[in-house]
Amino acid sequence: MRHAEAEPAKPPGDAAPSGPAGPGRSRRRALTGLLAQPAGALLVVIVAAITVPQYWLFLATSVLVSAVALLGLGIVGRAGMNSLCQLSFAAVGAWTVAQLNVWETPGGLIAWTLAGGLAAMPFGVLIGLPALRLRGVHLAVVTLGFAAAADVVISAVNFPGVDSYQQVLRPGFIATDRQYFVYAGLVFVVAAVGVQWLGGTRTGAAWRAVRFSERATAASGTGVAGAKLSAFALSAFAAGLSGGLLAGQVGMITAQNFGTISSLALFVVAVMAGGEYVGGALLGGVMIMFVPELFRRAGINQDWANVLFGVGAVHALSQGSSVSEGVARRLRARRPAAVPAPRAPVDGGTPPLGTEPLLEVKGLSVRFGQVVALQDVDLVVPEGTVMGLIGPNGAGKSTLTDALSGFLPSATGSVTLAGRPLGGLPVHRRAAAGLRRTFQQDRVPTGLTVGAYLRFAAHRAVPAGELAEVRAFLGCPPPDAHVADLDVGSRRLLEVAAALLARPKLIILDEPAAGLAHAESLALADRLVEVPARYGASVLLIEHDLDMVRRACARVVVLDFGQVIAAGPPAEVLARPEVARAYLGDEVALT
Amino acid sequence: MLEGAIAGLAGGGAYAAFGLCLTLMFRLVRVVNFAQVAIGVIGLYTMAITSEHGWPYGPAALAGLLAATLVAAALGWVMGTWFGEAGADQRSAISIAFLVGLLAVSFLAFGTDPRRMPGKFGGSLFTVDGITVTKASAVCVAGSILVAAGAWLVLTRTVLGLRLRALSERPTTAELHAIPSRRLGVGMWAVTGLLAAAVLLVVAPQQTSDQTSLSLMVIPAGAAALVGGFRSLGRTVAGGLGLGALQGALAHVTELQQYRDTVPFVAILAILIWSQRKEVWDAAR
Amino acid sequence: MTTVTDLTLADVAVARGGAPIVRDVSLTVPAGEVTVLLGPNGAGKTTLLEAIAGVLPITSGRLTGGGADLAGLDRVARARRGLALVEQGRTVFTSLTVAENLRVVRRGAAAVDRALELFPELDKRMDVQAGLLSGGEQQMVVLARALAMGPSVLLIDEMSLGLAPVIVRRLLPAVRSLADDGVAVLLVEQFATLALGIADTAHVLAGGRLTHSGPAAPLRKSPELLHSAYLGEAAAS
Repeated sequence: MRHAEAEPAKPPGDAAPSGPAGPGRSRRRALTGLLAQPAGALLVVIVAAITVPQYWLFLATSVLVSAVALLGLGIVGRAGMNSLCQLSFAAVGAWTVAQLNVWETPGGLIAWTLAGGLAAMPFGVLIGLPALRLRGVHLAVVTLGFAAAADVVISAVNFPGVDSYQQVLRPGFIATDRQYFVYAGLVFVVAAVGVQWLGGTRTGAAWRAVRFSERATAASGTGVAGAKLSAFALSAFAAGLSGGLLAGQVGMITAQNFGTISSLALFVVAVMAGGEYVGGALLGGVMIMFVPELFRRAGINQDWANVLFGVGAVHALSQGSSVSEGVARRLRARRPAAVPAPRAPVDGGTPPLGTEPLLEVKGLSVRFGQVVALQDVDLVVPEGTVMGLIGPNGAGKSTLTDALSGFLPSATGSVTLAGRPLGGLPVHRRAAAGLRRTFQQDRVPTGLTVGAYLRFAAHRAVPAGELAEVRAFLGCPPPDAHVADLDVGSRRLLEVAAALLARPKLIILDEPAAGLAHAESLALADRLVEVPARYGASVLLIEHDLDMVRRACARVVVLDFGQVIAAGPPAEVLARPEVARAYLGDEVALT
Repeated sequence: MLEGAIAGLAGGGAYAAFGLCLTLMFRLVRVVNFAQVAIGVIGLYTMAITSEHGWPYGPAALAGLLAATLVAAALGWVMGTWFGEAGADQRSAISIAFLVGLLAVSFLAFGTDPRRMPGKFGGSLFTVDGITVTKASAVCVAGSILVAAGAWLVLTRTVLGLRLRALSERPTTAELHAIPSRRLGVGMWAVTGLLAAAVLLVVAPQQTSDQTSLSLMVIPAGAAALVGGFRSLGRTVAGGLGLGALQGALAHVTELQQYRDTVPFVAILAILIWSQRKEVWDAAR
Repeated sequence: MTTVTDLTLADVAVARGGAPIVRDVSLTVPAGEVTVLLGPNGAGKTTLLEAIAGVLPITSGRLTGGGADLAGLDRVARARRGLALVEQGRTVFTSLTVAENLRVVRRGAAAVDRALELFPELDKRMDVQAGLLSGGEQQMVVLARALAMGPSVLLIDEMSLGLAPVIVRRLLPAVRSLADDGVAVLLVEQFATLALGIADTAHVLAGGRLTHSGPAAPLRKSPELLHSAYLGEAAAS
């Protein structure tokens, strides 16, 4: 399992089922893979604790302390957010431990450290709250502001116990520095296993999805707020643990341990080493502690370390990947995932004409300022059918999709799905109510494997067999392929597969064939015809490729200038002169 | 209280000027330059060192301004060469690496000992009703307003300004029309670096601050820029001056005095949550 | 600085995001002629134009202009040598007024005046922010802006997109007269029959390769030939 690094370990009971090895063996392999590395790491820690000289061991403990904080930074990093106040969270953890020590609270250092992690979590959520509205640069400014403010506060007020020279007490079994090193190693390994495990869950996938696209995350039924807040809270938890570890290690803590610039340096090192990977977090910890130390021993000013980190981070960003990500990518390139052959068109039969109304839209209007994007649109999508929605560029097709899926709360009119009014529901609730959509732009999160993405987007526990069935139906790549390595066409199919796996009542496909070859578009059309019968969902297909629309749809609706101008069977509708004028455009009028 | 607020205007003027640098950089070269003030610190300490070596104030100050301009131009070149196509987020992350690196370079080059900063703007300009207006306050306030007005004129009235705006809006399209993005980007870095050093030459001699705390003046500057939404020059100046005045006033409230440096954070938070309350999604579509 | 007067592509391949899009394309765009590049959506026409203008790098093959190798020049340098690309998608500078959009390229008032002659509609809109114009008007601004550069090689990606037929009818002869004045024009156009009307040479790109190259006249006269060149196997289905 040399891949365990690059690929978040899967929960044991949920292991990858496909491949010639069969489910049983691969499950066992996944299980040993999950346990082998931590066991190995612990072995290294114990051997080091016995052999390494005391002085270096103290430094090595500091490495583990920093590595735990870096693991936390990696979590917010996965979710695409920059946190410049990781050490402020660590200070909360250290503070908690110092205070509980002064109070002589029962439970001892280990319980206090846990409490420190927990105490940091509300602060994480607090800083995460602005992240619901702010992103990127603005969020970075907030976190830096928080780091500086926290710096001011903890400099102004001494840590508990400092005035009375009260050292943080260690329990007897981790009293010596050697024992404490093993304890720190254990904490790191547990935290690392936890982070890896979380990365493989739907929550972990949601973090990566949020990083790639918030809209797509919400559209696949996952609340963006929850994903962001959980990332910040867990990141702060890790930082709090690290602060608690530090308090136990040095006994007496001061504000200098948690300076603003140190937080920035930690961020820079995380960028360089790759805090999203366990190996990267460890490497980052090693660099933070050992690089200045080596400089000192070589008689070089320790400040060169930060210069080196700055240059290293710039270099890493110019390469587009951290050290760890580069390694992971190279490992992956050695074993490229097989890309399935494109499917040839197989006649899927006649498109079924549904009877019962599923989606009912009445008087839907959307304005953007002075511009009327949709005006009094009435639309019924029957149950068990494939319906086409066509119209020239700018006719309002994507606006309609956005309005139906809940991205435009200002839309007026009523939308009901299977009798249930959707008005006022946020995007992810509409998804949960059975309305799924895909995006015109490529919105499949890179950084996930095909399997992880499908499980995440399905938003329910999917049996392995079902996953394989849907993949085979559309011709998607194998579950261990990385989305980042796929071409645009495969990603579009993957997005459709994910929507099918969610078992919705209605799927809105926004130009799913963009990026597919013509023959593949037709093959997709044939598959879509089968969707109502196979998966019990109606399809609303927005597409420019009229061949595909003719092939897949039982009915089409034509939109022009925000209004429905025609509806009916494709052959009949496309023959109408006003449709020809609106949709086929000026070619007809000109020649 | 009022006296404190007026005294705070010196710092407020500096925040406003730095905030203008941040706003211009964000608008025109897509970066929140966390290293903005650190670049100025290099200039300030160059001035201090050269004057310690016996240079008169004038040449020493010029040397400082030149040093900051060159450092800024070099960083701008790195940004333009390797991160020309990168988005604002990535470029800003790089500027954080610049900040950490520059600060370390500053420690290496100039040491960590406190230095005497010769200055020309000490003392008071005039006193009314017992309220003293210092020279530094007057220079900073007037200077930041002048810079804002000058930048506005350049952006709206000159072809250079048009090109910068075109470049900020559609870099690729601008380049396809022979607008030299890299050179203009380096120029922007150089000019704002020069400006940051100039501001520090005025305000730093009045304070007892080290490289770190001077460099972190980028935080209140960021708060000022946020008041203007990283767009409006006028509101950035107002934000900076207001923040400085508020801090100055709080310095006279004994219970809050030692926490007055948390004001930028609280201000940042309040401003952001208000200004972005409608910004729900990460992309327009 | 030598001016790029024409283009020669030899076995050019272009990738986008690591994926090969265009392969083995060889063609010339001579001065004084209109060369039209046709092909279905997704064939790689835009990718090819972007590679010529320097937006995307060429992965293999040779690209020369006026006898000099262009591969070593970035897009700014190519633009300064007289190469202009009219991008798809109405790429006006939205916060600038129409007048400023034209002024920003600054190649002398004469070029701007000539550009405006083609678009008298813009005269009344000179002080309006370009972002507030209609799609068709924006397309006019984009074309006028390229003409204001006084280019010697003009690449146009989907010129007629979003323009009213009456304007397209006026534009095509204007493009022809540019070529007659010595400009090398490479036109990507969805309205094949219209574009062929003013073209000297036509190339059809399908699936990233040239499937047809030759004089424009035969294609203009025989829709069947165009149809099979254009749609390839897909025409059968």
